[in-house]
Amino acid sequence: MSDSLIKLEGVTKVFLTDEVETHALSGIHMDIKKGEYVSIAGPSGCGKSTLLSILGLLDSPTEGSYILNDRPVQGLSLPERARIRNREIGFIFQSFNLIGDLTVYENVELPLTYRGMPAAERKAAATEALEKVGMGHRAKHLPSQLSGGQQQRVAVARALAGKPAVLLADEPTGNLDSKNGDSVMQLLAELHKGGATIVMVTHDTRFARHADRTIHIFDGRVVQEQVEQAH
Amino acid sequence: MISSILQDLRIGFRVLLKEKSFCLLAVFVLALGIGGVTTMFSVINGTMLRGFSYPNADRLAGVQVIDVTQKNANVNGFGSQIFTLDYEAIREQQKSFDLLAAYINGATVNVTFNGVPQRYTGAYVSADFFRILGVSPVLGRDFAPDDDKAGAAKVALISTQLWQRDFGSSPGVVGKAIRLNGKSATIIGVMPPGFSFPVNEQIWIPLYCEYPPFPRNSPNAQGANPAVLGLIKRGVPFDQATAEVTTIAHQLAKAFPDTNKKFDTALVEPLIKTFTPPALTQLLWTMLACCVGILLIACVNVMNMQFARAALRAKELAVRSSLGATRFRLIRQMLTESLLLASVGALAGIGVAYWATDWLNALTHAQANPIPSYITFDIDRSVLFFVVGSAVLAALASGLIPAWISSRASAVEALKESGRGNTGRAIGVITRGLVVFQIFITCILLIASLLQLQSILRQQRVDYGYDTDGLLAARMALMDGDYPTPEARKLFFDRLMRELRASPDFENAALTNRFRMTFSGNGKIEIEGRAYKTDDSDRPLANFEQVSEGYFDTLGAKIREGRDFNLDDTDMKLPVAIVNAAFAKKYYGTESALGRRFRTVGNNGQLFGPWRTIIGVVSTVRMPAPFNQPNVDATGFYVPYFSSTFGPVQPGPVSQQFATVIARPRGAAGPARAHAVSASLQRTVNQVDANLPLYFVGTPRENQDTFLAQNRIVAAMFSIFGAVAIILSAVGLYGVMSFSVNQRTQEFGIRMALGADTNRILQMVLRQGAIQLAIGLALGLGLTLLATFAFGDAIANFLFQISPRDPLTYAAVGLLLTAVALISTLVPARRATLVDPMIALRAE
Ligand SMILES: Nc1ncnc2c1ncn2[C@@H]1O[C@H](COP(=O)(O)OP(=O)(O)OP(=O)(O)O)[C@@H](O)[C@H]1O
Ligand SMILES: [Mg+2]
Repeated sequence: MSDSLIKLEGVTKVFLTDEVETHALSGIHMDIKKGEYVSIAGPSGCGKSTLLSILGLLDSPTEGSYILNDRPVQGLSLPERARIRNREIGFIFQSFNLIGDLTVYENVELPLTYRGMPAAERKAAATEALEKVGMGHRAKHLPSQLSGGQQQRVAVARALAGKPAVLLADEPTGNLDSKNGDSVMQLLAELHKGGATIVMVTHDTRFARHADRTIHIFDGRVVQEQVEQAH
Repeated sequence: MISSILQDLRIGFRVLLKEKSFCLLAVFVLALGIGGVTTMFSVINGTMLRGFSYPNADRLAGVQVIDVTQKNANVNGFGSQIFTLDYEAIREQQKSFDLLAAYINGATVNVTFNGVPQRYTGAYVSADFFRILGVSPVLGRDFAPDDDKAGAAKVALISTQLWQRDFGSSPGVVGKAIRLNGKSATIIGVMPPGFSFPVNEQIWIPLYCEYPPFPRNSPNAQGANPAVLGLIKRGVPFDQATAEVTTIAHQLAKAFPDTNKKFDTALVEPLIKTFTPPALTQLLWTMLACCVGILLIACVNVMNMQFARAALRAKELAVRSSLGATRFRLIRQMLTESLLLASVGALAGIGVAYWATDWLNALTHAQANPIPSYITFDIDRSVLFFVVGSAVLAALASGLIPAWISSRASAVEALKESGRGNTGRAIGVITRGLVVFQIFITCILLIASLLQLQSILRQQRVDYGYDTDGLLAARMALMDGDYPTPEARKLFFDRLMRELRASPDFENAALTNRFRMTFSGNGKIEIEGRAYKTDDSDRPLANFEQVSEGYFDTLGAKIREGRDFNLDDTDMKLPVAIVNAAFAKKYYGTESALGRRFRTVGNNGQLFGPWRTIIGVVSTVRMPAPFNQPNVDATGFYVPYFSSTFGPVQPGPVSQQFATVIARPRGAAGPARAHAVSASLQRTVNQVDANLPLYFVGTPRENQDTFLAQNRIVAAMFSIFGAVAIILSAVGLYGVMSFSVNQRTQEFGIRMALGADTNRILQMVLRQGAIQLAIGLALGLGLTLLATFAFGDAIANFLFQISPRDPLTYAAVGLLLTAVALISTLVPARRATLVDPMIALRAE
């Protein structure tokens, strides 16, 4: 067993709309190790979100192979993909994406429910995750009663409650002011220190510095890999 | 103000034109709802609200004297008893009426003109009958007091329809001689076109000329108990007239306790009310309530669509209010749109109602047993008022709450980036609640329709215990002119039976007093050797029929014990009876009934028949008509045709004017064979009496069916109600589920990103539908069940041989609604599973 968690080889993604082909990704090679903190940067429209959605099994590549945790995942059925999303991957979205009808606690508990975890374990895991992000005291609130920064903290708790192999974050600070953004980044950095593998898309070079390395993408290709030296 | 309302209208039109599919669906749904309720209202209007179109319509009164304890008879509208002598007493003493008249309608009148014998439906009426209505003949003259006397020269008025059909529209018909009920008579006039009062009469004849007043204790005599109508004096309220006639009825009850004791309560009502018995009134209002239920379902559908639109327009509304629109202004704009919709829906609904009333008019007047001719279903002024009213109500019901709630959404909330706010959640709860309400109403409607449907099916499939398709039955009326005495009638019948049995076309033939092979009588009896109270309250009821020898053979019923009647069985020799197996079992158990005796008890326990010795036991064929008759079971007895069921033994043969003859054709069985020999039956009758028309000719089943035709229409209408309700509910559930799925697209995407697979999403949506269904069903089934306990008797009146709590019906409604809900939820649920989880990555 290698310590490689994510391995992409020759991944391309072509969108076909109205007979127009958009090459969102063209031959991406990528290797991410367990415990790594990788940031992905690049101009708008270069394919960052597309890459993240393939990593997160929300979408599948047009060509190329993807090995997650030593297991090829291209050919899997829809239910199996859902299962892997549920167990191996934690998502953090730019627009938080908490479910408005569910309380903070219920939002965090949701992926555990899908896993069929017994209620007592769910409670322990969800509470622990909420404590970790400092939102334990808001468990009974509805998302609409929280500030943006608080909502994103809850989203982080939801992503890590199930102890996934990797956290995927797409512009997690994009909808936040700089102060709230800072504190969410701080939180991710702490999680990384605790051993979490993180892949994060961000524009903000300040935040990219938290990462072990930054992958630059331009027009669907990896153009430069830069190992952060700051720490 | 006016200009701003005009602006609202203009904007409303523009908005609605833009949303074509919403508009089409809303108009369709409202048209069904408004069309249905309008149709039903025009039925009620035509049957009992509009009344008569005669000049004196507002002063026409029906006069009844009833026994208040006879609930069933009163509810079905045949509980009145006014003997002609009572009528005369009332007429002389009363001061409330300008004019009174007695009449017998729906009577058989035998007329021979130009050598062709015909049976007409006619009425025997007092001289003032037409003057009370304010209607005069268009040709010839009205009846004069001298025409309406025993022994007067016979005269008749005919309807325009008859005049055209059988008398060649000749003006010379006035003064023409015809043979009427065996006597010569003169046609003295023709009534106006379309006139056939009171029901579907073709000919009118003075009452006393045909049926002079009978002594009070001859209750079974033809014409002894006429109906009474009057022209109430101007300014005299009906209550006052009721009180006055009640006083007179009291006196008569005291003076003639034998016959009148219990009939001491008068009921003077507008004539249209007398003509609409409470059971019919109840039925019609129930049907209108069903239509209102459908309209409610329709309104709820439109209301849910409005909620959906309001949610989509939340931003627009917020922008408007941030630009300074008051809440009132927003509500007004939305209500204007609702009114526009409801108006178009109402127009389409009137179209539906036109079509439906046409259909109903044709259907109800074309059947063999048509409804009264004065009842027509039209879209008249009061119906139009009703339409406008229901359209405005529909607009308010479907538009006000959505407008109110969505205008409440604060501008801040709606303009905020993050999705559904409190208003959105409130709307979600309300729309789901409304779907529950729809399912609830649909549930009730479906139970009602299904029970009705099964009830009529059971009526149609009643097993009479013999082959009702294989016989030919016909009715004959032996009127006094040709047959002045029972002996004369007996001579005719004896000859007819001989001729029929000698005919190569018939295997056997017999006589019965059973009306159209459907109705026989029932009355109280007592069994010899048992102790009874002095009044008749503990005497059991039994069905009875007067039949000739050979009757059971002709029917195909088996004599199980003893023997059939023979020509020597007369009451003077020995009163005998044959009882059916149900009677024998009930009263004699395992012992033989032969040789045992029983007698009839009439007139409230005061008129006894002779003790009748049982000489035979016959297999049980159904005796009661296919309608609900409380306390009537299968037990029955038969007495010889030329004897009287009630009262003491008569010297000489007893023979009614009216008889039903049945004949079994030789050869193949079945209705075709029966019809093939009907000409032969008429020929044989005319060999004995050239002037005697046969009527109601057909197989027993065909005769029985004519009484069910109106029930079939009722059942058809209930089925339509049920079908429309279920369609509208399906549309409603589908709409709400679709809308909710659309609203939650983002949420489904997030859930999938978090690892929910398609099954889980499918289940989630289905569960939401299932919860609404379960609550709606629980309420609908549960409350209906409760209602059957509260109003069991009234409901049972409408149903035949099926319990209002029939478990199969409830289960079927539950299954049907579940299936419909599943289908209408499955499509949106499938759509939910097709959501691309990528949507979660995209910012809104
Ligand atoms: N479902 C789709 N159908 C067609 N084209 C798509 C689809 N999704 C993305 N694209 C295209 O693929 C390219 C990459 O899009 P992507 O969303 O990955 O960019 P991005 O790097 O995340 O940009 P941004 O920084 O603005 O979020 C774009 O040109 C986009 O228009
Ligand atoms: Mg992006």
